[in-house]
Amino acid sequence: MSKPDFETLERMQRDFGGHPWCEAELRELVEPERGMITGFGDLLRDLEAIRKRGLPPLPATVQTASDRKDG
Amino acid sequence: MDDACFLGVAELRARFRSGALDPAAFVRFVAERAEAENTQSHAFTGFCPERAERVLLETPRAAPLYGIPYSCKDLIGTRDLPTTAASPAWADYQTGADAEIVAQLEALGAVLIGKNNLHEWALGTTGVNAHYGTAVNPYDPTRLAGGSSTGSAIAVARGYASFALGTDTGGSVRAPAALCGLVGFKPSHGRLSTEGVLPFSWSFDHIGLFARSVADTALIFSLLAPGPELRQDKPLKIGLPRAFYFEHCDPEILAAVEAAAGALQERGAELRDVAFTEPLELSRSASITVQMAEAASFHRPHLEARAARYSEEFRAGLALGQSLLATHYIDAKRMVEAYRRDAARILEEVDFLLTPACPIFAPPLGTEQVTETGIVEGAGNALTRYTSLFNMTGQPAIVLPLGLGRGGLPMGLQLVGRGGGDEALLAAALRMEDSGIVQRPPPPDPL
Repeated sequence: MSKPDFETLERMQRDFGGHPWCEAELRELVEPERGMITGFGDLLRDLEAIRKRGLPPLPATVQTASDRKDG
Repeated sequence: MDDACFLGVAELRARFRSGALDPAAFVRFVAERAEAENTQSHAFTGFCPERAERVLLETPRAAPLYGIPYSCKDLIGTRDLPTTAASPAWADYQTGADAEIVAQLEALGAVLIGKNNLHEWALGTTGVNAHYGTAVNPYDPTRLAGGSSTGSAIAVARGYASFALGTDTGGSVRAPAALCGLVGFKPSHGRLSTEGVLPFSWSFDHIGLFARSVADTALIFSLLAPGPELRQDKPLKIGLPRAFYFEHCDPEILAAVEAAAGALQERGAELRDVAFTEPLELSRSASITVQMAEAASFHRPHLEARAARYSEEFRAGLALGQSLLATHYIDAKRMVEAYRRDAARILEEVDFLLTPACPIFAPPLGTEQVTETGIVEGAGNALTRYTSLFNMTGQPAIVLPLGLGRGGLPMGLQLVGRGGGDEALLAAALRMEDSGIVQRPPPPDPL
């Protein structure tokens, strides 16, 4: 998984109908300087770790065999 | 009148009843002092003297909190003052009605004297606010007071209010309570009403209380959310989650918490090491993902008109929330469920968890990165490292002061109870206060 770059975030907000944040705001996500919020790249890395570690089961009606602990 | 500013609620009420102290004069005194000192304290975004006079006139004197001055974080709606979220973009926003908890307190006779400054829109825990001013630490004005409910903490620490309301989404009551030498209580999720409160992240938002003692906290809470009698007569069984919660902590704070645990053991408590099985090092990211996605959703309809007036920091936070995928949000919510189960499992083994409240002393103003605990992390992340999990799991948690440490700065511990077990938690905290384990610091030097 590569770190998100400015161009990707800019295209996402333009193509997906997001609010048009300016360059400085998106740059803060790519290269955080304020230290007050978790950097976006670090957050995505942790979210990938969460995804890969196996999450609690979904509600029974939407489980697949692989979702079930005993499946 | 000065000496009355730091009295507990029961003592104030006794003086009002005996005629030794006039409630209206007392409320005027603290409110006028709060307003006069606000250019230095930055604790308030607005004052409401007319409302205070009206409550004093119209409320029966027998009301249980008659004449007790309090303040509330400026995310909490009030009918007669704007609800600004300490954001220039919302400086003129009027909810037009009191939040349910404000209405409850008014019916109990408590007197709102003003609304408290905060880290803009509660996104941040340092209390830095360029527009309304940064409310600095009452024990060292060169240091942060913590946040986001910064002004609420200052109001109580400085004796402007007997108690104050804050909101706590990741530790925004408990972190400033720890840094300002106060009791900070986050009840179980939903025990105090958030109706009429501007949301930051509705999944994790809690209303919390600041007070100078557990006794005051327990009294206010019992009036707002009546429940079982506060009783704690069996030996306490306390879990110490040493992994994560006792790591990368300032050694002096850690020693104070260990000493408190030892004192509990001497008084008959059973201490037991406990361990989470879920990876707590990912908990902050799960929390931030939910928080920022929800904040971005709430603010989206307002951005066209208001975004330019948000701070750069807040705009970057909302841009982050917008850039997350739906699956990130859902995965984070599923992770939250895993943490809930894990915490509930441990709290079947023990009655309470005991942790340091905050791993660091109040950092100097301007601190962005903290390095002294052996890891590099943002100041805001460090301040809430030990608190944010319990917003996700929903259990009640209370921060209790442990006196002053290095540089005359406050230290504190956190005690966490079972979900819905707010009264048991408060009863245990009360026992710790009565037995001298809780060490309230002296009032800070006046401004």
